[in-house]
Amino acid sequence: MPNNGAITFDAQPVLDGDDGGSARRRRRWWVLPGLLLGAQLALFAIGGAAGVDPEAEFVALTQALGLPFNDTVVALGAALLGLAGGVIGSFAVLRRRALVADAVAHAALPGICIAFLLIGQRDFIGFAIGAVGSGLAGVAIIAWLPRHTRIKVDAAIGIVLSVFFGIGIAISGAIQRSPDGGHAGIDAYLLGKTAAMIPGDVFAIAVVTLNVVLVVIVLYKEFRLIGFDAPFARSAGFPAGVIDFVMMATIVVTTVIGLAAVGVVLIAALLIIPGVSARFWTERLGRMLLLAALFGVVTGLGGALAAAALPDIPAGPAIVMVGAVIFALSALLAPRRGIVARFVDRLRRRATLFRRALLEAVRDAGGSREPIPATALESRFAVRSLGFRLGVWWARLRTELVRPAPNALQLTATGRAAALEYARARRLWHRLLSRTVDATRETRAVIDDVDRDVIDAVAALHPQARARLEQALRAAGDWPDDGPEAP
Amino acid sequence: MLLLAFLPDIADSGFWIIATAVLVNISCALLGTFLVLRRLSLVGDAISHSVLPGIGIAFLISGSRDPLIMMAGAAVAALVSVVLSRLIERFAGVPEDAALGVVFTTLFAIGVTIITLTADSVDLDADCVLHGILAIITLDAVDLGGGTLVPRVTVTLSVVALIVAGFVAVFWKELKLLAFDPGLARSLGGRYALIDSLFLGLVAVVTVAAFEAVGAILVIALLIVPAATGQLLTDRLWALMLLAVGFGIASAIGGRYVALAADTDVAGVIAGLLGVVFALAVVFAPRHGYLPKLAQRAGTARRMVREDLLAMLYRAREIRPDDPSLTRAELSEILGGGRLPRIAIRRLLAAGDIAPADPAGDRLTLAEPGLPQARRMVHKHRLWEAYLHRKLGVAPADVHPAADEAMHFIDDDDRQAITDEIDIVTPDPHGKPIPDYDAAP
Repeated sequence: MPNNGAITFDAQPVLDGDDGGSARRRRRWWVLPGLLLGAQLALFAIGGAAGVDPEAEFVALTQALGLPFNDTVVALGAALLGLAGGVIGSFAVLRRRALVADAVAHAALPGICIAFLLIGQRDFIGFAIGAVGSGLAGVAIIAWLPRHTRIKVDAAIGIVLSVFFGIGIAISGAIQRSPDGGHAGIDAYLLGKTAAMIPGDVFAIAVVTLNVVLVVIVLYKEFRLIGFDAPFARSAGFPAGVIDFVMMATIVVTTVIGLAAVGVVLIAALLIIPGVSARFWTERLGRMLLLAALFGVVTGLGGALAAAALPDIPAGPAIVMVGAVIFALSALLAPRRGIVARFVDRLRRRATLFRRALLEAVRDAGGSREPIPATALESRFAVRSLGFRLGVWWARLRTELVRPAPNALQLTATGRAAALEYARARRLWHRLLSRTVDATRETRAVIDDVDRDVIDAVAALHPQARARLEQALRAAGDWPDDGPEAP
Repeated sequence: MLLLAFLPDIADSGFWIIATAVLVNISCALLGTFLVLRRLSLVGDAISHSVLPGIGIAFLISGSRDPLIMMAGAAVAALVSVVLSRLIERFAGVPEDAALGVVFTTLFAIGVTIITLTADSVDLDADCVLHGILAIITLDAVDLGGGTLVPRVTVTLSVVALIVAGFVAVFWKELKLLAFDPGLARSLGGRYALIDSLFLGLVAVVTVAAFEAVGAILVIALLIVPAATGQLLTDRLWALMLLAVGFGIASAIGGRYVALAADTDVAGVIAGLLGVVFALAVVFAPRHGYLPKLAQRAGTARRMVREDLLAMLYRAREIRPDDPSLTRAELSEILGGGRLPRIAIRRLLAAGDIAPADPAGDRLTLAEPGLPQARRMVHKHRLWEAYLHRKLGVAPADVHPAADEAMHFIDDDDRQAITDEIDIVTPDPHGKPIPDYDAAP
């Protein structure tokens, strides 16, 4: 190697610097939310300066419409909360973090208590800040523990939920036993007093809901990536940590604002149920979010109206129970992913397999040309069973099989074609497998087992591969053929 | 038995508070170990949330406030929530956490509704479900003979603790298999499915028995946190279980005294203490803690930079035998700059592995004591390059970065294995000789 005195090493790793490119491509994701937040603050400032009181406007509007005031407030608040919970909760569900909302709701307690200790009285804003603070701490711990220690995410959720709650109970215990602790109102905050919602609460919920929707719209692409494949997002150079934090912070804020309205456990329901229900109906994220928003609104509205109509039923639980009904309907009736659809699908699959096997058996027994007695199939089917009769009935319904005499079966032209197709697929499949795997006794068993789905498997073969296999089978004289069709 | 010194007199209510807390903690820690190992922590969560509806429904059906009926109702609700969420998971294809979330929030809503509807006739207090009544358990006591009044909750929990301990002792082997090889356990069939169901049933029983004392939510802390803490400290199941039980007992006793001092809720303090111990373990646990891991990583980083530096100086010797030195600035740049190269230079100078080559000490060169190690690093580097190129067909231009990393982690066994595969007389892919590993200085 020529050496002119310069130090060279075993190899010079030359990496093309594409840092500049990726920096340019990277979206300035914080610009748009910043602008939107600024616009809102400006609106507030202008409204405040012009002396517009949103609460008074809302009251006036309700009175003008002539609706029962309290019910309207509760219904509106619950619907908005359902909207926000449905949208952001969908991501929690997709990320397998559904119970984070529950953990956050519990983890908010110490923050509320500390806020009370600092402020010395009930204060909505103070409580909210304290709750968001400890909620964020809880979320951060849930995200950090599984990544840096051997603690699994389920244990992390349980630990944060219970330890934070325990600390909160301890602090609130101390507050309640102190001289001026009686009116802390912390229990109400935890259990929720949906029916006692006031226009100010609804206004706060509306602001949060608006921002949740805006955040999701602006960060849709990022959230989608994180929601479906966080490791990939990280490796593709997305600031996954930041996006994850924004997503979790949105969940925390939604949870905290809902805490006061429906309580600890029930706010978790508003974040989980609409998203899970929407997932049944679609495979597309955009549609899922719209559906979850819709389900959330229906849940909140329906629950609040039900509670208004039935005064004995508390509003918070009524909302959750409406959500549960939507979930049950979705789980049962949704096309493709629903329980009924899955069941029908499985049934159809089984019936199809049975029908094919039946046709082939009749063919093997010589039923292509002349009627055969059903008893000839006894070695392969329980010919007296109801299932067998149903199968025969179905095949006859499809005009693949006829029953010329009470106990005789014969294939029709359609049936002959179907049976032939099946027999051929089976030969192709056996040929394919016995060439790819050693046909030991064990693999023979596997081949016979796979047999049941041969038509589907063979349909997936490349046409050329299929043709080659067919050629080989013909050459070996092993290709099922009925000869020229009988007139 | 040192802990016994902390026990107050039997006539004191503190004795019963501590005894009850210890019993709850033992039962929870024994079962929680398997919950955490089997990643079923969220099931504990769901079970504890089903207690309230269970009680409500039991009251609605029976119309009585008998604690046994309440407990039975809660246990049934707990099992229903677990079974129902498993059914939803299986037949509707919903992820486990979402299924649990749907089921227990719905059950909770039903429970709250029932309790609200019957609120006039019964003081089923949601507050009590949240907090537990550990501080006042002595108010409800039974005479077991001998004239000593034993709190009813304590009696129940003693029985439960005995059952749990017996269950774990008898089915130790099976529980272990369920925890560490669930696939095998499933394939072994019925017996294990039965034990699994028994296990979940016992978790429900413990949760229900414990909620009266410590509240439904804090049961989760007692179930999960001691086991999670133990998991950070040991890799052996029996040690893990002993640690979990130990943490449980210690936090029960400590909780009582802290709560007395701060005049607050015992159960909350117990959960808080468990959290503190867990946090300490997360940070300081010898092998799995965060700080030791950081320290280990930093140690590895420093070793790698030292080895890189020695290898660089060795190559400089090869290329310019007449002037084998490099300036500190050059070395630092090659090694990525920053603090690590400076530390490495200081360490190696102190050890005598490298030496200054000029009076000012700016140029550094390999000293005799450092030569064998430097040669070994270059040997491993080129050995790996040769292996990548000849055996795996990696292009010569691409082998360097991989070898730069691998050379720090090739031990004697790896080296022997590679040497058996390729001949080390032929030069590496860049045409440089692979230096003799064991050459005398």
